[in-house]
Amino acid sequence: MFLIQDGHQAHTCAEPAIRRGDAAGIIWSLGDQTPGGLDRLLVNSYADEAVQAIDPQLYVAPLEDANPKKLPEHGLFKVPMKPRDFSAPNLVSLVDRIIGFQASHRVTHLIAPTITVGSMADRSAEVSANLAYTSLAAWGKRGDDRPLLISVAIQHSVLDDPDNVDALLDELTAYECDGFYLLMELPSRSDPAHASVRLESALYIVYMLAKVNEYTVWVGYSGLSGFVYRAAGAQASAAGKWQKQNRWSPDHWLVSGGGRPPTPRIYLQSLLGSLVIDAELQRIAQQRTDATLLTELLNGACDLAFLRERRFGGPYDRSELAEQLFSVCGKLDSRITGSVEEDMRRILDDIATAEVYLRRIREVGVEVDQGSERNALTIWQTAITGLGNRLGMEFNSQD
Amino acid sequence: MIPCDPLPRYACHHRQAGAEDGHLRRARRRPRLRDLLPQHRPELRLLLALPRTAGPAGRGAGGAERGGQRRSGSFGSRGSGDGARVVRYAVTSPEVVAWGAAGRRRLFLSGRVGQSPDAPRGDSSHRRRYCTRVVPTIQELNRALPDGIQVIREIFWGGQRIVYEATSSGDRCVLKLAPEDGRARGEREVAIGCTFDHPNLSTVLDQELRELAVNSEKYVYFTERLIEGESLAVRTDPMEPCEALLLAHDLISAVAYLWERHTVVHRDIKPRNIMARPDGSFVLLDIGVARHQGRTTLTLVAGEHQPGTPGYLAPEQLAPLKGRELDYRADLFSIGIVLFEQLTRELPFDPSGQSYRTLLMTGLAPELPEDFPAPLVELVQRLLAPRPHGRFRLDKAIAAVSRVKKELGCS
Repeated sequence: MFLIQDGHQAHTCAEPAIRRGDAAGIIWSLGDQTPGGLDRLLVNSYADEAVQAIDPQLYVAPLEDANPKKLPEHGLFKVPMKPRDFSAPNLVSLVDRIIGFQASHRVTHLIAPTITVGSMADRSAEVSANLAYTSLAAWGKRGDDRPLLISVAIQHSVLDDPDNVDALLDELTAYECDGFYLLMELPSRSDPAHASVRLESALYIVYMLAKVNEYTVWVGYSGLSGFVYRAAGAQASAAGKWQKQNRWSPDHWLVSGGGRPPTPRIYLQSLLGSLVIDAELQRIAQQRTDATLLTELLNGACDLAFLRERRFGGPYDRSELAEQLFSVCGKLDSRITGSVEEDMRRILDDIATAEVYLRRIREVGVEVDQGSERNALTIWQTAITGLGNRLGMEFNSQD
Repeated sequence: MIPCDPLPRYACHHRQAGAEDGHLRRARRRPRLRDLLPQHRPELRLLLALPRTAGPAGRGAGGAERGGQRRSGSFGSRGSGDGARVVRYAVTSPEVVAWGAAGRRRLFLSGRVGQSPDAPRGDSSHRRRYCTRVVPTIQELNRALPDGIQVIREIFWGGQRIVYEATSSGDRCVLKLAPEDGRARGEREVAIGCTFDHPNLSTVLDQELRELAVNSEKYVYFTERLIEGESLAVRTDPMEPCEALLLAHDLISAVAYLWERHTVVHRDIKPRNIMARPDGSFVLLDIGVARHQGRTTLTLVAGEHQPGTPGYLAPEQLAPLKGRELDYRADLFSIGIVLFEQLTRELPFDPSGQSYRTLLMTGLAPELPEDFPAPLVELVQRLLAPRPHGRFRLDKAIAAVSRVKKELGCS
């Protein structure tokens, strides 16, 4: 299933996506909602049948220069917290508060608090394990029927090292829980070789947890690439309105000086990626060299009437664009069959098709952002093929 | 976390071979090897005798070791400095004490292993805590035992204890006798074992360890329910797939009970510790080296001298995973080995092979031959996954066995 990752004002576009059936529910961000606001949002009628969970975002607390946003208003923990605050005796009351807070709200799943793990050999791994065990104990004591997902937040350094990945999996698979809420850091600015190794590790983690050990796995902050995790066995992926909700990193919580607003993009199933509306899509719409290119690209791009009316020009409404992203994510998600081999094979076929479209786009004189879309396809392709080799599965099409 | 129990200090003497013990002086005269191994312990295969002619590390004149091929398995204790006269033996089991038997005097091993502090760098010699006892005769035992308990015959002896068939208040049972040095281990075994209530596990009948004095030597003992049937170790024919699945089911059920109810890892699942009952079911015996997670272990961990039996060890028993306690998945691996062996009459990882450790750690287990049903092959492969996360979760393991049974049409 596809879930909406809550962020700043994300609720404004969650309702239509859930009502339309594009998204199955929402993972609320504690740091982006006031206590009163969260109370109101959780009981909205559109969410009656939806999946709802609250990410407690404890992983923000150990950061020294964090921007805690609205986290302190909930009174569950302070930001920042010192290392001694995470000593085993202190965790019991902390975890009890956080689990109890979630249990008192109308959520369908409870999410255990965690901190970011940088290496399986350092103290962060120990604290993370303690938080997981304490959460399991607190949940067991409450006798709550709702499933508890152990959240796991890992930095890219863990994904870089196969020994760390194995150690992480040995630890996680010892937990007697319903499942996991995975937050994995995959930096956007890394060379394709490194990035594909990290993605392969991330997919391997999902596969081993979901398919081999039969846990429920949600991959948070996964953005458009969520469907790749779904193909690896995850039961849910999540994307949000803003870029920070589509790529998880502890750095997103650091105080920053702000930046320019994101470039408006349109997400296309045909490309398994996006095009910048002004610089790319508009020029493709205007060219006359390849008459069918625009129609083919927009096939499956959901309702783009709002853009057609404006001839693919501004002004852009952020909510409309977010809804469009959710709609494409929902469509990609609905194609997942549950068979890893079948789903991965189709993704590789889709990547090949997307590469043909990118070539055609270049041929009509439009240069697509080299730094993102093409690299993403290459990274996915390499990672998926690598995963297949690792698992002894054949993902490449036979024909 | 379960608080650690205060443990009595292990009282066994810590000696090195070649010291003042008279029996060991006899051993130096190189007794006939075949007399030293108990006839009913076929798995205690003597690999090689390593004559120590020079140097504390024992390198020099001796057989295979001279060729730089130190075999895996356990080694006898190192000499006391006058290495020239010390004889070392390697056997396939940690129960290296087998070489110490001569007549009625037997050597008991505490199970505690530590790196020899005076071992030269790179030398894997270990010293073991042991003590020797002149074991009592059955008549002497029966005179010393309280009324109502009578020993009938010796079933087996090993490094830790002697096991007898006995009667208690007229009912047949098993009596396990150990030197007093084995008290801590015995107490642990009784404390855990007396609470067992599972059809695939042996049950300790006593509520506490009992004491006994024979010929001024102190012993401890307890009784267990006698399991009728035959040990899997005596079987020589390959097992049928359906019976192997029944074995897998019973062993996994026992392991699940041990883990879920008692947080215990058996650590020594092997054919000799499995009884096949006449009704076709199987019983897991001997929790003597079981690990109770959350309590201080009775057995120190030192490299390849982990408790357990080479050939049946999980990779993480041979090389403990950093920061991780052993869990039930080590037992699942051993079950995979037992299944493989029962189906093919071959061990997937030959402990006497030079590359045993490498093969085990890299997980290059041979697959079952192709003529076995594919679901059974997959099941055994999953159990033999090199990392714990590649094996099963407990409930999934039992479900997987049931699924394969159904697919193969086993009743």
